[in-house]
Amino acid sequence: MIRKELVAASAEPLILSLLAKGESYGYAIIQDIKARSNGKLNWTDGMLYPVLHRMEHRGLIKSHWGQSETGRKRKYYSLEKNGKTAMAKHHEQWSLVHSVLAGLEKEQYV
Amino acid sequence: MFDIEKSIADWRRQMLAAGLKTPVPLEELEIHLREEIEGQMETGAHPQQAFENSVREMGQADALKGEFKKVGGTQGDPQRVLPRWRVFWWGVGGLVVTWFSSWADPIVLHQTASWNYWLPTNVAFATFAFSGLVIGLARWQTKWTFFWVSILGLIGTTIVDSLCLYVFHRGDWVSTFLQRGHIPWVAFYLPWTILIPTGFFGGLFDYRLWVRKWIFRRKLA
Repeated sequence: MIRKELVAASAEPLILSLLAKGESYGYAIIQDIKARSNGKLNWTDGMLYPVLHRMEHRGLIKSHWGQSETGRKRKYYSLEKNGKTAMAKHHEQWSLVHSVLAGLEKEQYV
Repeated sequence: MFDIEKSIADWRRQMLAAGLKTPVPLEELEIHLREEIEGQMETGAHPQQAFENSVREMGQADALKGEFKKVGGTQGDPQRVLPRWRVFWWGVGGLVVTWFSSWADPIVLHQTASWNYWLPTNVAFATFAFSGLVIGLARWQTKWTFFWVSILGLIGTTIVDSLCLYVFHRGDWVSTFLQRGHIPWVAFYLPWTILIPTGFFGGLFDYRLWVRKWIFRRKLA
C-alpha cells in the first residue's frame, strides 16, 4: 500500500491527467485509479470530493450535472484551461523527482 | 430484513448531524455511495455487506466535514487565485460607474451643495464597492461571498446616497430628485442605479457568458 502522504500529494496530478482524457465523475475516477494502480493507490472515497471541489474553486476543473445512461443524476468534471497548465507543471515536476530517484537508484547498483 | 433505502437515509441523517450540511457535497456523496453499493452487489455482495463496506470506504463524517471546510477557506492556501477576468470586470464596472457619475451630473459644475452631495456619494461608493472587492480578494470563498458583499455594497451606497439627498436638499428632495437642472435628475440617477449593480454583478455573472449566448443565438437564427 502506498503511503498516505504520497497518495494525497498525487491526487491532483492524477485527477488532472485522468480528466485530460475526457470528462468523468467521482465514482468513475476512483475506480479508474484503483484499476490503474492494481488497487495499491487507495483513496478514501469521500475524500475525493473535497479535492475535486478545491480544484474547481481554483479554476483547474469545471463541473456540470448530467445523467447516466440509467437516468441517475451525476456530477461530471472536466478540465479547464488552467488545469491543462497545472497538469503540464505537475508532469514536469514529477518527472524530475522520478528521474532523480531513478538516477540515484541506478548509482547504487553500479 | 435489511432495508437499503432506510440505511441510506440513516447515513444521510448521520452526515447532517455531523455538520455536513451543504446540499451539493452531500448529494454527490450519496450518489457515490449508491454507485458503490450497486457495484459491490453486482459482484455478489449481500446488500447489507455492500452498504457497510461502502459506508466504511466513504470515510468518517467528521473527517469529510473537515476536508470540505478547507475548500471554503482561502487562508492557508497560497495556490488559490482569483480568476483574472473577474477582477478585470469588477474593475471596469467600478470605473464606469464612477466616471459616469461625475460626467452625467451637470449640477456638480454649478452648485456647491451638489459637490457636497457628489463627493460623499462617490466616497461611499468607492468604500462600499471596492471594500467588497478587497474582502473578496482577501477571503475568496465562494461566489456567494461576492454576491452578499455586493448586496451590502448596493444597500450601503443607496442609504448614503439617500441621506445625502435628504441632508443637502432638505425640504424639496423629492422634487429635487425629479427636476434638477436642465437634465432631469432621473436621467442621471437611473443609469447610476443601474450601473452600480451592473458593475458589481458583471464579474459575478460573467459578461462573456452573455456575449457567447448572444453569438450562439445569432448563429442559430
